[in-house]
Amino acid sequence: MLIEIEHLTKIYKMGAEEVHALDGIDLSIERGEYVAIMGASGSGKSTLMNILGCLDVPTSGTYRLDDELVSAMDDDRLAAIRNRQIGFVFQTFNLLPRSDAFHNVELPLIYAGMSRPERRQRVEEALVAVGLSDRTRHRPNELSGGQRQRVAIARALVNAPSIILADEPTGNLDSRTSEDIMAAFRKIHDAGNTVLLVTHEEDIAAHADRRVRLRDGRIESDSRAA
Amino acid sequence: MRLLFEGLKLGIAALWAHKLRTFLTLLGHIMGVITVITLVSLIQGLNHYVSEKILVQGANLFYVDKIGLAFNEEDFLKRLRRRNLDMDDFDAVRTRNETLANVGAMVQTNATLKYKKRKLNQMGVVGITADSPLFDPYPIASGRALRAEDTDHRRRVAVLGHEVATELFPIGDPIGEEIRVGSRKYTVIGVLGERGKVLGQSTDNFVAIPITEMLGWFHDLSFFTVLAQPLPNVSTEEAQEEVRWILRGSRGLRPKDAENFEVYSSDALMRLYQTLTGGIFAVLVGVGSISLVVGGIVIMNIMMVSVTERTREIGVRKSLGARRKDILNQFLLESVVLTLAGGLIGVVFGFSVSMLVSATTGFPARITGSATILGLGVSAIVGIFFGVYPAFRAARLDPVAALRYE
Repeated sequence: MLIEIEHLTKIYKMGAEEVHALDGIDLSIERGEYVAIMGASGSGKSTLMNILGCLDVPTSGTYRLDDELVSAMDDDRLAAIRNRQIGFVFQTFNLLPRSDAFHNVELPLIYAGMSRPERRQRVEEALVAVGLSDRTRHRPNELSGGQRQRVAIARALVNAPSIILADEPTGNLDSRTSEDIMAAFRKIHDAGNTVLLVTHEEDIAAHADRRVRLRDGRIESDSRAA
Repeated sequence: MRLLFEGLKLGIAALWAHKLRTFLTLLGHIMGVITVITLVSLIQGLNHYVSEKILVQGANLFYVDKIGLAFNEEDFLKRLRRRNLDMDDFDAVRTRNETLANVGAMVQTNATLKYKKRKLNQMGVVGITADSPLFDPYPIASGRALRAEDTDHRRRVAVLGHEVATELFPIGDPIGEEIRVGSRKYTVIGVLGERGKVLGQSTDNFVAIPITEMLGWFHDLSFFTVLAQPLPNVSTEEAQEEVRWILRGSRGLRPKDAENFEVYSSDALMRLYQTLTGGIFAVLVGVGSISLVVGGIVIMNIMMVSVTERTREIGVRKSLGARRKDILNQFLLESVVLTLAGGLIGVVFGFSVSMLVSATTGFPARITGSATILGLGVSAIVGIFFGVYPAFRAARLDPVAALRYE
């Protein structure tokens, strides 16, 4: 099992009031799955994504990623897990504006401490994989929205992580570009990667093989496509 | 190391992206470095100049006279009442010492020098023994130096300082010519090489004559000075101690009597200079450093702004695996690159300013590697000191909150 979550809760204190963003989640995901995590805003899906992505730690409960107990790790070990195991794709792309596509994709490898020639090779492979081999020296503002998101996908893939974690990856794109991006995720999944898609859009979620619906911090339904 | 290099590149790139802002931010720091570098090069120039001029007579030369280094008028007047040193004291030291390579004696006064119709008022007249160590820094330019037979026979011969020679004899060779010192006639036997000015005072405007001859008409021995140079394998302290004992004997002092003469060296003169000026210089550099602190605060401020502006970037970096240490290093390197760049500009301009001061006022500035290292080192410290808090803030940011930051 790649992801194993048991009795996960996350409680935020808003003044005197406690908000149970996650209220006892149990979830298992196997390597190679393509899962959509769905829910309205306030359902807890962002909180779950942050914890799955090791950006945040739960208040209680356990989270095992690839047999490592992530929920008990400190900041720096979480950073190392994010670097090796997680590839993020954000709604707003989150590319460094002053760096070109090459350097943006290279960043995770720098933090991994990889040598320059090895980095160069990996970055070029990743950019070829998303069809941007001719845009390596372009900065984000010289690229279209779809191209930016593909740079972000290349960045997520470059470290060969266990999970690709996409948070509303098509939220800022028109429907045609969205289809391109979703096709890219399908290809990534078909290549053997585990893809977690966080979305509130039904037609985007329809691309996934399994759909987990959250409501008020609990799993409302967990269904697989026929 | 790899990360450090990447960080350096990042830092330079980030600063280059805001060239004008970077420059304005740095202005305070640059001014601070200019101030400190200018002060340090002027001070070092002065120190070097003074030590070169004071110590030129050989660091181990020492002097004995009755006044010594008197630091106030009271001391001076008290010492002036002491018994004079004289040729008997000199002879005692010369004949009894076992530690000295060379001993000389000297008296000085001022007199008018004349050659035909040329006249020089108030020139130094130095009565001196032959082969005196005092003349080590003055090589003979032409003719010959004073010899033992000149003093033994009280010959009326003179060796001219360089300036005296050029003023009295603008054309022609002075050797063999007759000049007047006061009303007495002397034959010129040699001319000394040029030594130049010390703190604006010429050191070449005197005439040297045999001390034995001078004592025939000059009777004020208040400033009669014995000069001594220790043997190469003897320390100055040891030689001074021996000279003290010899003089105590020759001047009839009993063991419990205080010495009525002073032994001092050019080292002591140098130390005196250093104690007098060291404090002043430290205060000057300290005051100059205040502007470095002000510049540093400006840099801290702009780094805080930079961290806030780039909160989202920090979040992205953290999501990609940057540890706290990586973020800390990134911002720390950025502020160090900033201050080092300022330091470099400051050092260059600081040296230019001190050269300018030197060229316009004649003040002896000196550009040294140590001042450069000081300028850059202080810059790096300012960068680290004032950069560490903003960098720490950046490193501590919560990745979730940072990614959500608009």
